[in-house]
Amino acid sequence: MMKAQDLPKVYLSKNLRCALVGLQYILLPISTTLMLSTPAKSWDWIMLVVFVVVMAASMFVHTTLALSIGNICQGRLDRLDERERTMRDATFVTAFEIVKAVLSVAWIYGVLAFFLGWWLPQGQQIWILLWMFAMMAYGLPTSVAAFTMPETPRDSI
Amino acid sequence: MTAKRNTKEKMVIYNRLPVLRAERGLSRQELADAVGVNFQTVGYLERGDYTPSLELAFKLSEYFGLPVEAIFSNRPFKPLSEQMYKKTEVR
Repeated sequence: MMKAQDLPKVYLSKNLRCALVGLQYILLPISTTLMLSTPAKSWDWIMLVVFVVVMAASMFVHTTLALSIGNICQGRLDRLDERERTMRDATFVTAFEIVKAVLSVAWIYGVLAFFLGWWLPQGQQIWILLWMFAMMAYGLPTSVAAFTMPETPRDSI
Repeated sequence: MTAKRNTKEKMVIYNRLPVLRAERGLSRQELADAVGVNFQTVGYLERGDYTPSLELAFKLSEYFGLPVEAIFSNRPFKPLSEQMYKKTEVR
């Protein structure tokens, strides 16, 4: 019935989870800005180390958050009970709404930028922004779950 | 208008799970194993943070050998001692 992998590997208070979600969405724009602001072929090893450190920190935060919520957003569905499935469903709906909002804003900005001559990504920058969007979409359900899941009292751990 | 608002209001379901579990000396883990849920879900149920499905409610009722309405109610339960004492008085 109960498997070892079902147990939460990490206990984090709700406030700490929310802070880590915030940190994650600070680290991601930092790494993207780093890539956008550095022209191709002009990367030196210091920039590369900074980028790898920022990315590693972001992945570490994501993994910690995933473990603290019992990893409900990944893995097989039959591993979860009905409460966790309900929570997972609600999380994915919220994440999808956020993705929809981001895409809508990007679309409106794109149209306005095209007609008004604002900044638009060129060449390699398009791939960097797509990469950032993919990373955000990948981590979003876990972030939403970590942000919204109520505090788990220590007596139920 | 009122009907529409009522459907949006979350119904509170009260339960006697902590008492029943304590009476039988069960840990959350043991009860969770018996009804096939994560042990944290038992905590959520006991605190009223999660309303069980009909399936889970029946599993719990079968496990404790009690009718569902003896475990779950939409009104706060009176203390068992008070109920028992009143029954004794009537006799």
